[in-house]
Amino acid sequence: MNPTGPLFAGPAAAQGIPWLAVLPILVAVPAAAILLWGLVRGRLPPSIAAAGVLLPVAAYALGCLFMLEESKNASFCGSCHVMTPLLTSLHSNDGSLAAVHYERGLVPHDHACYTCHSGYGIWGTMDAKMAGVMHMVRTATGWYDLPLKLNGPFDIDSCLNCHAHAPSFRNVEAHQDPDLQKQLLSHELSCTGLCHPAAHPEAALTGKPM
Amino acid sequence: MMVRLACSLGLVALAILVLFVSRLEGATAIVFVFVGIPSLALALTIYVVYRWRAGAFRFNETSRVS
Repeated sequence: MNPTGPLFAGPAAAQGIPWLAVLPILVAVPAAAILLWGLVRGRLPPSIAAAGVLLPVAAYALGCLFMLEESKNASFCGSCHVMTPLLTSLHSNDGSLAAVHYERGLVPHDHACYTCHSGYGIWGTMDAKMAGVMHMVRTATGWYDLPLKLNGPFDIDSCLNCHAHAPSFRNVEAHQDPDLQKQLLSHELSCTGLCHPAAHPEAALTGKPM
Repeated sequence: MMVRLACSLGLVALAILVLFVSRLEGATAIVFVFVGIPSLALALTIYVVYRWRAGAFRFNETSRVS
């Protein structure tokens, strides 16, 4: 048994075939065969050419679907070097808000980053994906500053989605203060900083290995 | 020549797709989005231009339904 892995995890085969990863390749193989044929012959019969257009497009559509789904994984977020220390800090039990949530299993381990950094509903997902594309642009061009900063105020709806109805949250006197609620909802105030520890340790935001 | 160029670009795009799917990480995702997708789009554009120059997509007397 993996000492750090989840309990009650079945063998890999029990998960079934990872169709989202397999399908793009299954479609790409005949597409590549057709394109190779076109490369060698210099022309393609019309019916084969139609397949030569449609199959690569379909393979890419499936590839995009794969990316949309699999990019939710925390390991994907941590694969870029500036994010690696942030992922490492989740395991370090350093008292940061993210580490506390991760250690206590309050967020799904596989989707830990995505759970807090995407808003609610389909538009939250869309915003998160657009932000992800901008992260790729910034990583590819080196257009970022260290230490990393959140782009704009943190959407506290991500916190409230889980906490708002919890009795332990509602019973806190400060949370019942209407002025405080107003300040939080208008993003004048954040959950972290004054009342709760920072989401991530300062050292992890510098991009240097911890 | 244009078909060969389009096929080459398409093959590059497919190779990037296979690399991305088999090894999902930030670097391969960047290559997939910023090299793979433009390569495929360029391949399709070149092929459409080739077909258009060959006389496809044009409405003329012979293609009109009587």
